Amino acid sequence: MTPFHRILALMVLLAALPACGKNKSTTTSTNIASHVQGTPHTDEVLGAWRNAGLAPEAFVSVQPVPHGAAYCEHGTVRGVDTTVCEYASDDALVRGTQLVKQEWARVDAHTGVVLRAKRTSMIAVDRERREPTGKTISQMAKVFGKL
Amino acid sequence: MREVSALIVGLLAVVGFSTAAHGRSVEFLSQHPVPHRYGGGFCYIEVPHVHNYAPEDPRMYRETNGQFYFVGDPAAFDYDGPRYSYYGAHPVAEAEVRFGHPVYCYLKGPHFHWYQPSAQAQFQLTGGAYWYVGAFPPAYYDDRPRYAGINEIYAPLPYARPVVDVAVAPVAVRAEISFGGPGWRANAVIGGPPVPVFIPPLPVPVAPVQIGVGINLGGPPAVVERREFAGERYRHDRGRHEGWGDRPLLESHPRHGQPARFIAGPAPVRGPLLQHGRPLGPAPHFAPAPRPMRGTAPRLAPAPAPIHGSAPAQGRDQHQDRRH
Repeated sequence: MTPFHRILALMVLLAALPACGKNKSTTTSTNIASHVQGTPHTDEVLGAWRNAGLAPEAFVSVQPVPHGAAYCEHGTVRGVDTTVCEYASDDALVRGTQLVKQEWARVDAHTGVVLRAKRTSMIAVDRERREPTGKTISQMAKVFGKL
Repeated sequence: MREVSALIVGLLAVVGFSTAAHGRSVEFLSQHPVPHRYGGGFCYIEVPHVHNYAPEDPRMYRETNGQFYFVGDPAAFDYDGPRYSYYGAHPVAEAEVRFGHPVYCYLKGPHFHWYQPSAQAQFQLTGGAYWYVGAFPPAYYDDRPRYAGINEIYAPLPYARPVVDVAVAPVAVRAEISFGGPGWRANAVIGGPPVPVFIPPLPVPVAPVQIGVGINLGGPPAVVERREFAGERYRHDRGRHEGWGDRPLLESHPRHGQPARFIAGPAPVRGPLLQHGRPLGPAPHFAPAPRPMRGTAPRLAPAPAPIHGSAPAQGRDQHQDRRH
């Protein structure tokens, strides 16, 4: 490697360092900005479930955002695998719902529910038949339907 | 040629793999029983949802746009939610469910549903149950041969059915009340002390034929009744009087309007009380029917609805009818 190449490599590395930091902050700001206006936000959904005594747990933002949504969070509600997504448009929501159902068929999920409130969707899936009666999902659906 | 064969084999393999990889996904419109092979019990999800299993018995469902709706009595499947008593066939009048076309419940006699009839539906609440007092359209009769088989499923199921006072049945449906119907070869109802059922005189010339015996189990509080019936009349038949098709009306009851018969005696501790899918053998003996109650039938206040938990069948000192 010639001295010219060394200098060039160092310049590229130095130039890349701030870019990395900028990228990180951009991602964070994108997450915040990805919440969709005019539809219930994920926090509202989780808050409503919490108020109903359902205790949502370990909800974190999902990256990359699945099902064509603008923003999604995934966690559990009384052990039921749950994803709440916000969509930018009705078309995107319909397509996302279809994708979810196709995925259930592929993985042979025991129970699955996908509901919408405006352009926010609630996806609850019991893959391993942890709750055959579906009472938790039923309660989640009732609360979600009132948003 | 070898390349074509390889291509065909490859395509078949892909198709086979994709078919095997896809699980079953069946959509249910509301609550429903869980098949026994999946643990049994009841699924309480009231919104459209999917399972990886199909309905255990399609006769208990209506399929609309690929979605299955349970039309039966949930109480037979460990259901512990709100329940409302109905008597006889009626339109499915669950306010939150839209089918796009009328759907009917063909269950005979007293039964439960989880829904209260919508305000627009023509039901009358009397005697502790909702009675459909409207007219049935031709579609009801057209579909009856197809869907009335649900009674064959419920006949042998031993569960507490609602206690309904048929003495105060709406006038519009009183003519059709009978002690049972074809298919109800046996039923078990836990109720209060044996009380003769008072049936007001029926304004029809032909009454259903009744052959049966009641067995009192373990003392006054519990009554298990076994009956066999041969025929039944139906209202709103538009003059066709087709009954239930393949089941003939054997004979007219010689004593019109007789009450149900009960026999106080030792209960058969062992041995099947209920038989599934075939008629009971000849009754061991027939006791003389109690004298019919005459005069004004005692009236009961309408039962409060909804009822939560198990069926309110015990300790009810009221007239009972177990028509189905």
